[in-house]
Amino acid sequence: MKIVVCYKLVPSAESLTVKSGRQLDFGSAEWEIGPYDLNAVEAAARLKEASADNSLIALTFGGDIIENSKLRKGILSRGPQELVAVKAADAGQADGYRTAAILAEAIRKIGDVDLVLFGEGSGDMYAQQTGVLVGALLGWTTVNAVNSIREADGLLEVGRNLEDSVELLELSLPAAVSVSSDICVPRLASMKDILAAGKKPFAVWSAEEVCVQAENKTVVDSVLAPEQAERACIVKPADDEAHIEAVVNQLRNFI
Amino acid sequence: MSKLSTVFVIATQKSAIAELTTGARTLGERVLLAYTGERSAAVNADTAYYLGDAENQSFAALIPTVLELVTKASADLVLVETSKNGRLAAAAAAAALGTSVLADAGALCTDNGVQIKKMVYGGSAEKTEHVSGAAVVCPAAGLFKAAASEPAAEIVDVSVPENARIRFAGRTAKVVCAANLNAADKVVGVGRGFSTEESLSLANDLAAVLSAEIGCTRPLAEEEKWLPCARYIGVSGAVIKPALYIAAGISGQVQHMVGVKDAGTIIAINKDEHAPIFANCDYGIVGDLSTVLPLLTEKLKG
Repeated sequence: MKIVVCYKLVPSAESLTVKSGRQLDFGSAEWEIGPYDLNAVEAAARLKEASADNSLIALTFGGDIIENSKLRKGILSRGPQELVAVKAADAGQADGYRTAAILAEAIRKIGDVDLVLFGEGSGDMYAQQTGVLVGALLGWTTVNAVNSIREADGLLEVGRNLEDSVELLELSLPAAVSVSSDICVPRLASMKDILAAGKKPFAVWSAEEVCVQAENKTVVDSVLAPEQAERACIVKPADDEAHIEAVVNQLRNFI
Repeated sequence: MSKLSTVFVIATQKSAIAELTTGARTLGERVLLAYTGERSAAVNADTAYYLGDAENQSFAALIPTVLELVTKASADLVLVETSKNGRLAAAAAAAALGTSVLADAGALCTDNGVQIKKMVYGGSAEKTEHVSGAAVVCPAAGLFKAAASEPAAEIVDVSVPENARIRFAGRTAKVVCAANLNAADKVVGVGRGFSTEESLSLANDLAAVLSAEIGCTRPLAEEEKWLPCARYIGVSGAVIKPALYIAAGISGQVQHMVGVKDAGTIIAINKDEHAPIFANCDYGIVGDLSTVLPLLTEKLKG
């Protein structure tokens, strides 16, 4: 099985600050691999490791950040054998449709892919749509909410963790699968994995050479930090007996 | 707001059918519905397409049939239930219509194209965005409330051909979590500050004396699996508005706090005085959970 796993590099929510006018400030943003994508990379790595006939390529679409070597090793140290990054200067403004169209074309260009895995949602937008949209655009067997996955006789056995039940399905390949974040706990890369990551193949393709026709369908009108509720923030150490009494009195109001 | 011509609703759960079709009636002249589950659940629609109870097949296998109905209808707006199956159907509809899904819409306006608001960056911000032309929207919980419903004017039974690519191999019902965090007016949240599953009893004791429900942060549900996923509070879990929220051993990351930002009173207990939670609470106690929690419990019992 030739497997591709997709991931997105996102600014960590904690590192964003709010400037005047409720605008977000990305100036000191720290970039990371999307937390939900790490579960998908781990699930993909385990599938690859289950058979010597399996291979794994990591795929991402982003701006300049995709060239960051620490983040690149962060992915390549977790199981993928090589990395393909599709780059566009305006990737940060790409909506679900444009992102999915570009990823779908990149997967076609990689060629002979049997399975593409995605996380539950991106760490920043969390629309939970890009993975399933890629599958729909490719016309492949597409499912989401997958919390178990196993290859058996050329088919994929998956469990889908729905709200009221868990359903077991057999999927024909090629397939696009979006995994749920409880599928498995991501590994911690060892020093050996990180050193080896630096030597793995890494290709950068421009968005134009992958897919000419993929415009945004959505127009962003604004992105604003919420109005902050004012909290009293009366914070004292636990050995402040008067403070403990005050808190207990607050709690008594609710009994 | 002038009405859209056709709104197409896709839903699998009775409550979602009622809510989304109620909303659809306010937005469109004509309302169509594609649904599974109980046949009689079809309400507020001019035509309802029934695809069976979907017990012994996956809803995923029905999606090509749903898509045929959607494309034939020339819908201006496709409103899809925000469930796992709904999100899958929404993506298929969006691919067919050549648009993006407007997901988790907390607000919806059809004055100028279809415009929605949703939380982004883990809850740090709210994005407002719109599409022109046919739109696919998954509304956030509570956007539409079911009003007095009338049965659908007509129900069409749709035969669904077997899907050769998705074979159903079984279904296990989940033990549905008895707790309804959304209905609780008092909640004690537990986080990484608890190093063992046994130590959660300290929080349980406090919750018991307050008659409060227990909620948690994502790692305790998904990684440690100490609590069921239904108790996880945060941007990708439950968003609640209790009168009282006690955050015990929780650092206060934005992805969790967005789940409780509208709580009445927030009380935080954490041994790290620099934890972000202390900037987002009404009362904070800097101290060890194993000392503070039993102390509070004792004083409340006395």
